Amino acid sequence: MSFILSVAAKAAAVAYPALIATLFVNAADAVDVSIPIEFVDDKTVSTEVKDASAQLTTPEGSKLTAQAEILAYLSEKFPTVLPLGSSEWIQFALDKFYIKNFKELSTDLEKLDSHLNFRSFISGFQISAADVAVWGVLRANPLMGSVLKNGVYANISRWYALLVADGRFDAVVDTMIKDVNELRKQAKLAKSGGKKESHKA
Amino acid sequence: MSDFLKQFKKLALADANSALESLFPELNKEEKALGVQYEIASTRVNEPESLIQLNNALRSQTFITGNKPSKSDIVVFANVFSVASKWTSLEDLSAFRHILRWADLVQNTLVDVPEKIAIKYDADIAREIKE
Repeated sequence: MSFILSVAAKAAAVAYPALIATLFVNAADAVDVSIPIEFVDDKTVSTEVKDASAQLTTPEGSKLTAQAEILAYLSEKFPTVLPLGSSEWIQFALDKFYIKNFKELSTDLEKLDSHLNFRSFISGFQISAADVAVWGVLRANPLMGSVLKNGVYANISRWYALLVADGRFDAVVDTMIKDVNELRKQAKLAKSGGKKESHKA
Repeated sequence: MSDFLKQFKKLALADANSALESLFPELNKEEKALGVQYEIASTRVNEPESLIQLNNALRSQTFITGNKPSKSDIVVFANVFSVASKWTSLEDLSAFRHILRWADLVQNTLVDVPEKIAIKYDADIAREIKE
């Protein structure tokens, strides 16, 4: 068995955390591993688990579908690339920050904002899997765009911008959009019997 | 940026002003200008106005020049270190939270200090409401 990460492109909540963590591993010079990523144009990537937005198949043969497990696995396997940071914040992000009800979400955003009063990162003084989890979930939440732009939570906006500036975070979103578009183009092509789409008069 | 911080060999506080720019990621014109501006402001820590200005800047940016560490972080840190060490009341923690957050990052990644500024990470201070 070898590594592969599958990501569901139509998932209600896109699995950015698992995707970013995997790209961190792939981009690291220190480790000689590149985990292939495949996008599946569906709501789930697993035949056994309902609503699995991502699945990491490991060389040991396990199939991890919970993003918290994927992050924990990758940081245990590659601690120099991505230390775990805080499993509590990883779980908190996955449980709370995908929510699209602003009233509910804002209570938890206040917790994050106050956590970042005296902290530049979620945990310690470098990027950890906890930053990846919180950033990735917030990135997937459509409510967050204007919240971040308006600086409603000053600490969250500052921390979020720092990770955007890192380059590896936002790149994930671009990669995904590009790959999924390509996937859909191929699927359309296959459906039309390999013929190129022609404009009808 | 994160990898840079991890690998950076901390400088002694006494060497702050002789820190070499070449140790840091390259800055553009705007970033350089910001750095100079705050280096100068930080020589006037006895004026509350300059501390307020610095705190406001660090609300929206992690480092002095933005999202990259630079020599200016070390120079400004050396200037505010002793005054920031005295901020222990909740009032001061609340008013200068952004300077303290940044100073803690600097003292743990860029500069070696004889005695670190004590940070009350979970101090119960009210959220800043945007005006």
